[in-house]
Amino acid sequence: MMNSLDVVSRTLAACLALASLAGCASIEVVHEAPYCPGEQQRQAVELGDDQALASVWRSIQTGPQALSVPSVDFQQRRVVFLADQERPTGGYGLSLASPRFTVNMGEATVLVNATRPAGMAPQVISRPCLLLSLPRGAYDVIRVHEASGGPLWAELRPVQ
Amino acid sequence: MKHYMALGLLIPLVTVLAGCGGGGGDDDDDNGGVQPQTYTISGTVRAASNIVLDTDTNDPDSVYLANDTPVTAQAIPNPAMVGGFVTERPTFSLSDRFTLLADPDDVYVVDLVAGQSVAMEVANPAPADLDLGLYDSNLALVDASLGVARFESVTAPASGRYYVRVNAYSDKSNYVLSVGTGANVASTLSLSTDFVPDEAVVTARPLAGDVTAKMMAQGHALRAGAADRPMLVGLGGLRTALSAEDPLPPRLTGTTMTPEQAAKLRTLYQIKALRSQADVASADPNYRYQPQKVPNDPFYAFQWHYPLINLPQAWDVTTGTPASGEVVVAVVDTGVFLGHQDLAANLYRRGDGSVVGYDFIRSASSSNDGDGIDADANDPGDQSTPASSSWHGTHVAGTIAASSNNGTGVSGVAWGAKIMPVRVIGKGGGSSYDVIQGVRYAAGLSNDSGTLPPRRADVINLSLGCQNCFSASEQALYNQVRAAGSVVVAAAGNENSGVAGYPASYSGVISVSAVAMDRSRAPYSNFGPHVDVAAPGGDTSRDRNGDGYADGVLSTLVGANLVSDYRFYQGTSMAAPHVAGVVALMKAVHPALTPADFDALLASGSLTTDLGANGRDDTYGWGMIDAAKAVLAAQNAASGTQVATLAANPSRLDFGASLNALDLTLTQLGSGGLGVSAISADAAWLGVSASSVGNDGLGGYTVQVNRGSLPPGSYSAQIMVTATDGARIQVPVSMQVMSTALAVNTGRYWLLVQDENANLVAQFSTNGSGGRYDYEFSGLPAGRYFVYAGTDSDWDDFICDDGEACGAYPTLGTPDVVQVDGNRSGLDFTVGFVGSPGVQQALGTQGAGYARNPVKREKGVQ
Repeated sequence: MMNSLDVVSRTLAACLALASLAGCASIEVVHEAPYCPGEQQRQAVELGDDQALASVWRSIQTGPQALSVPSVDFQQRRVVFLADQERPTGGYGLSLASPRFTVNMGEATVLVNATRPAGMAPQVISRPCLLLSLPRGAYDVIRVHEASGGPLWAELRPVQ
Repeated sequence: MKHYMALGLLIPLVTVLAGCGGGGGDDDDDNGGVQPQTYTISGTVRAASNIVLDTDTNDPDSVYLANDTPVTAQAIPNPAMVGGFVTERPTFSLSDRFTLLADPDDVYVVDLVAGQSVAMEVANPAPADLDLGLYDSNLALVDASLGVARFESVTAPASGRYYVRVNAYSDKSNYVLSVGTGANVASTLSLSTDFVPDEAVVTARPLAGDVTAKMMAQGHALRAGAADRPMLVGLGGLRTALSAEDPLPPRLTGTTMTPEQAAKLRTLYQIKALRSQADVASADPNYRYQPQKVPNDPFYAFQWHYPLINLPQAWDVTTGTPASGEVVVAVVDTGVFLGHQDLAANLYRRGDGSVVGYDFIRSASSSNDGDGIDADANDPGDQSTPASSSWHGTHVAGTIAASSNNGTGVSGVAWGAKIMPVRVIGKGGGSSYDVIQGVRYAAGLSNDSGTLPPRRADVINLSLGCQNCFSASEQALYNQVRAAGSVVVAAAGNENSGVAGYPASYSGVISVSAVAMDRSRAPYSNFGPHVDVAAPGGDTSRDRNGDGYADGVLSTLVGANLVSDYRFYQGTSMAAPHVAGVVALMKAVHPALTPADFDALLASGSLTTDLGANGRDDTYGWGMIDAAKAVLAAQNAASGTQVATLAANPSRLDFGASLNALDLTLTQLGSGGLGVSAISADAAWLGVSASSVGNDGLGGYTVQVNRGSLPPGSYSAQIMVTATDGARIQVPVSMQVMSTALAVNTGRYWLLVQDENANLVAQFSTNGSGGRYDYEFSGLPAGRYFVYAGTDSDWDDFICDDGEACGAYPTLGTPDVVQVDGNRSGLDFTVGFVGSPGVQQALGTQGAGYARNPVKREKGVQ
């Protein structure tokens, strides 16, 4: 089984190899925040339509100023919601490591940076999240890896 | 043979059954072949008498009675929950009721009690904008709520009959009206607020270009300020070259208003139009300042954590500005976003305007500002992007001393105090060494910067920490800081454990645990022998007051584009600055207050509301900080001439529709040996008895209501308390009596059966009778199913959306599997409205709704 470093290196290599032909697909960050209320456990879910996006959007808003639900063309793009587990301090982050992703054998690989604090930490509950949109393509499975290596962060498979 | 229309994998099964002539579960298997047995489930769905449906929703087959004007107003009971739908324009969506017609207004007529509010929750606040209006029995305008947020609220000034108007200012949405249910929400643009007509305070977005020129082209006038700071704008004509639409909606037929109301209404609608412009960061009325306890900051209404610690009463005495000089609070943290619109004015500055503070993060990679220690304490963010950064120090600073009563954003505890930002935490946390240097600087002690502030901080807030990291040198530091005269306050930690966290557990440091809105220990808060005091830290898993927002602590933050923002956070990080701010208030009235004085007052019970075990305990320390008591205690310590007064906690009691007993605590503020000479209730259904009082009558009482044979409706009364000096205080009490009768009109309901994989198996719709909906599903194969019921008011093919009625077997909060291995009957349940986040969380759908198949239906059983 490949480890995450293998995945990272092969992904980058694939990007470079294809760049001159069709280019690599681009991920867009729809939303990111250090604290997204919800489950206490890590969460990775694909949002299939405007209704699901609106529902998640409302649930992660943490301010009194209402923000419009982002507009996504679900005909052209897939939307995934990633949230790390809830933790007792600040200093945790989840961000997109690269807007590029590759597709191999029906699986797309997305790289994220998941940061963790050391030493003194702010005493605020945190649960960083990412809302990403990916262009549709010849892939069903989305695998999320940390760019720094380590075990698979999350895998999203179509509901049977 | 009864059929059911199935979807997905079950369609082939239905085909087989139809072809074989198979049927319901009560038929014998009479063909001798292998044939799946099927069964019948049945029950009754009931809508309580206070559940009402708008008689003109977008469901084309529901009962239709127009309720667009006062003449056709729909009568509703009190209390009531009303679910409805409005649309500013035709929907142009085939099969809708309002495909070619608009339904911008729903009007209801209801009897209200004086002071009673009607609250509305808008299901889709972005992009829809719904407003509330209240008219008396003569159709004269009484109140209006014209915000753009999820909630609106109007209040009846006197008992009587009123008309309530729900208006779709833009787009379309479901909504839920709450009448007499105890819902207490804030209105951000209210007609009843005192403000200057035809003026607005406007702030432009950064890099927005020439906003002033655009506003003048719109007919407005710049009266003061400039594009790079708040502007006072004179609001001009309603139709301009840049705005083709009149911002005012049509006046409701037959209604009247005074010229002053018309001017205020015109002002609010123009402010609403300004808020919709991309180049405008904020637009608010020019509120009139009144000497009152409650600041006029628009988001103060969501800061439940301030009334919880009696801050409004404390603000009557001081807001943190001493007779001379200033009170300085150091925020040793991630830094502060110095450009925040609600903080910039309260930063501690030198005579030349530069901010007094320092950045002690030695690591350039951690500091995120390109260098090591420097004199710039601005927070550049602690993650790779502004949107993912915590802006933790900004949130903490806002709780301590956000600019308040300025008609902008939020309020702070001690808005007369000044903030000294000290950066010690960057990307990835902070080092003990950097924290030590930061604390030394704040306390006016020598440090690595080689500089000192003009004066030491009176209070040092440390909303940071680590576990099992005791350091003797740090303990020595805090001994030194305390001896220098600074009061140090720190967060106890969020590990829900008794393990000592530092610096909170150092001797001489005030360790603060966190409480939720109901004063219980927040689920994450640490506890133990080192906890000195408790304060609100929030609990975002709940929405106890039903204001539509999770119960976090609301304070200043920074938006994705480095704009001023406001967010709810939770943690002991949020609790500590409440205490730091209260200490600042104390210092304002007693500048000579020392850390030892504070400790003595704390241990005497003079600064807190005692929670948990009597006296000190490991959960709350000496109790929850009480700002009013603390300020009076400080005054008393300074002059010893305080007049004693009685205080009731809570200050009002709302029994809602189901509570029978509540606790009331009477205490004395100030010194003087005051007691209670008499306590009584002025209604036969209301009673009060002592539960744990001393000889002076102070202590705990139990207040009870007896609904008995009272007719349905809303009731209010007073508890009268007479002090031994003859002074009297009153505690208002309210409650509702619900009708046990079934509702008359609750509209058309959809009944759905889903399998365990959330696939729709069967459905039908029915108008029911008198709020009762009998149902029966036959031909179900053996299996495990869920049964749901609800309305589809906006006709989007989903029931149980926000603002729609919803129910599940056996209860909405915990839907349970129906095991079908035989006929099942008596599967009864009730329906309510999907609205508050609490309901959504219980439903597990967060408003996503349940899909229904609009094509095939089975008639309900009559």
